[in-house]
Amino acid sequence: MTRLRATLLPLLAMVIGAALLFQAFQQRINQGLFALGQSGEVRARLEASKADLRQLARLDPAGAEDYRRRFEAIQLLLERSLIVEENEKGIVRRSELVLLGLMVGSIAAATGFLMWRASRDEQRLVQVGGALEDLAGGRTDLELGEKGRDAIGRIARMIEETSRRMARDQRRLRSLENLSAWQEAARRHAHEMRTPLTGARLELERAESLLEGERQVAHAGELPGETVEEVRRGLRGARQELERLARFTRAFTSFAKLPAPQRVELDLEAFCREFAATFAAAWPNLRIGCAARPEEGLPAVRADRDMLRQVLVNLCDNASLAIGEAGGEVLLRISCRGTYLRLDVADDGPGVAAEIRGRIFEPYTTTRKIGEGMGLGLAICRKILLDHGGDLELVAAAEQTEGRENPKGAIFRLSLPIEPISEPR
Amino acid sequence: MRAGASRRRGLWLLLPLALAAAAWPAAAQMPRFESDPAGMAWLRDLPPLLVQPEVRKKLDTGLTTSFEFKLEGGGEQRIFALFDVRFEPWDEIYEVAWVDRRGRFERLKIPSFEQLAEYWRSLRLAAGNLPPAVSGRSEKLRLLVELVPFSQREQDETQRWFSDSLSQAGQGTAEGAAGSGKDSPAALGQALSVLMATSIERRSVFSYRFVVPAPVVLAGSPR
Repeated sequence: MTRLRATLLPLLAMVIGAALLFQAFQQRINQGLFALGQSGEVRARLEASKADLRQLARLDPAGAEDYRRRFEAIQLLLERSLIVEENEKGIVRRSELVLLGLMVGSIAAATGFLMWRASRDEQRLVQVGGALEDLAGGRTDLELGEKGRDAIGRIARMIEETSRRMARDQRRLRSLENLSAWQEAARRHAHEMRTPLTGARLELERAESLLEGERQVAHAGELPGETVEEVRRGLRGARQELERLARFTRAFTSFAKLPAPQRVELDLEAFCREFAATFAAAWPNLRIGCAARPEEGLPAVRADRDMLRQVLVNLCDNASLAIGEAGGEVLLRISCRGTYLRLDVADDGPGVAAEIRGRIFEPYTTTRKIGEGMGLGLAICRKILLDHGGDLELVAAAEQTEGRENPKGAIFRLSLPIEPISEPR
Repeated sequence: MRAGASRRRGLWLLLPLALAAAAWPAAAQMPRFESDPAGMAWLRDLPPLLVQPEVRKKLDTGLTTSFEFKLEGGGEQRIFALFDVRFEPWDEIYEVAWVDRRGRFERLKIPSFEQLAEYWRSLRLAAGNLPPAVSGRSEKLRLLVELVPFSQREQDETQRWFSDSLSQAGQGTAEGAAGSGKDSPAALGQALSVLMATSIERRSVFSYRFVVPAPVVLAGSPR
C-alpha cells in the first residue's frame, strides 16, 4: 500500500504538472495567435483606418509620406495576420504536437526519476540491512554516509548513533572491568599489608615503652645513655617508615573501595565557578578560570559534588606539578554536546608525555619519582566519571594543540550525561 | 411511383450534358504548348486563373501571390516558371515579376487588374525541351499551376513577428500572475515560440491541373 502510494502520488503530481503546462501553453496560443487581430471587426477597423489615411493624404499632400508610412504599417499587420490565419491549422497541429511532446517528456522524465529513485532506495535499503547485520554481529565502527532526510536516511543515522553508543559502552565496560581487576588487586595488597603493618607498629610501640622503662635503669648506670638514645632514634625512624607505608596502604584502600556516587542535581557552571573561587589559593602557581557558553542554555546534570570536586582537585594538582613554579593557567570550559555536558580542564603546561598518553588512566601510571605518588589519581578520577555514566578522556596534549589559541598544555575532558543512563555498578 | 423513377432517370441522363456545358468555357481557354525550331517548348494562352474569385481574393490581400508552373509526369513534378504578383495598396498598382525555364526574367508594374489579366493571357513561358509528339499520335502533357499566397521573405518576417508576439504575450502573463518581471522558464518559452512560429510555412492553397497536347515538332524543324 505504501509502495503504491509512493508511486501514485508522484504520478498524480506529474499529471497535474502536465496539465498546468498545457494550460500555460494554451494561454500562450490564445494570446499569441487568436487574440492578435484575428477578429473581423479588428480587420474592418484597420481597413477603415487605411482608407482614412489615404483620404488624409489627398487632403494634406504635405503629410502624405507620413500617412503612407502609417498606412503601410497597418497593411503589414494585416498581411501578417492573414499569413497566420492561412497557417492556423498548421499552428494548431504544431501546438498539439509540442504539448504532446511536453507531456510525454514530462511523464518519461518523471517515470525515469521514479525508477532511478526506486533503484537507489533499493540499494540504500541493502546497505542499511547490511549495517544492521553488522551491528547485530557486534561491529561498532559503522559509517553509512547517509545524508537523506527520508525514513531510510533516518534509520541509517539511528544505526550509526547506536553503533557509536555501543562502542562507547564497550569502552566504558572494558575500562570498568580493568579498573575492577586493579581494585581487587589493590584491596588484596592493602589487606595483606595492613595486618603485618599493624603487628609491626604494635611491636614498635611495645619496644618504645620498654625502652622508656630501661632508660631509668640506664640512669642507674647499667646501660650507657648514648646507646639508649641511639636505639630510640632507630625506633622513631622505623615508625615513620611504617606510617608512610600505612599512607600508601590507605591510598590502596581508597582506590579499592571507591564508594558509589551520591548524585544530586548540579549546576555545573556554578559548581565550577565556586571551585575556582574556593580553591584559588590551594595552588599558588595556578590561575583558575571558568568559561561557559550561556547561550547554549546548559542543562543541569546529576553528580556527586564531593567526588567531582575530588576529580577537579586531582587534575589541578597534576597541572600544578606539571607547570611548576613558573606559574600558569587552568581553564574550566563547559559546553553541551548531544546528550552530554562536557567540562574541559585545560592547562598551559608542558602537556602529557607521548609515551604514557595511551595508558595514562591505567593505575600505577605516573611520571613522578618513586615515593612521590602511586599513579592512582587519574585512575580514580576516571572510575568516578565512569560511575557517573560519563567518561574522562585526554583530548589534547601539547603538540596536538598546534595552531589553536592555546598551543600548550593538556586538555582533560569530563563527560557527564544529561539524562542519567543505567548505573554501571 | 414509377413516374417518379423515370423522372429521376431523365435527370441522370441530363447530368453529362450539364457537365459538358460547364466545361465548355474552360476548354475554350485551355493553355497550349508550342515548340520552336530549337525544340524549346513554350506555354501559351495561360488559363484565366486571375479572374477566378478565390484567386482574385488572394491578389487583393497585398501579399505576394506566387504562381508556380509545373509539368507532371513519371511520378514527379518539374517546375519551369514562376510568376509573382503583388498588389501595392497605396499606389493601387500590381507589381509583377516572373522567370521561366530559359532564364528570361521580367519585373514591371501594371496599373489595373484588367491590364494585369491581359498581360497574363499574353504571357509566353519557356518550359524547356520536351519529348516531341510522334506524328499521328496524340501525346498529352499534364500542366500544374499552383498558387502560393505569400513569398519566402513574407514568411520569414511573419515567423519572426509571430515568435516575438508569443514571447511578449508569455512575459506579460508571467508578470501579471507573479507580479514580477522574472519569468524563470523564459528560455523554454522562447524556444517554444520559435517552434510554434516555424509552423508558418509557404504551401500552395490552390492547384489547377490541365491536360495539354504535347507540342508537335514539324518535320524539318531544327532540333
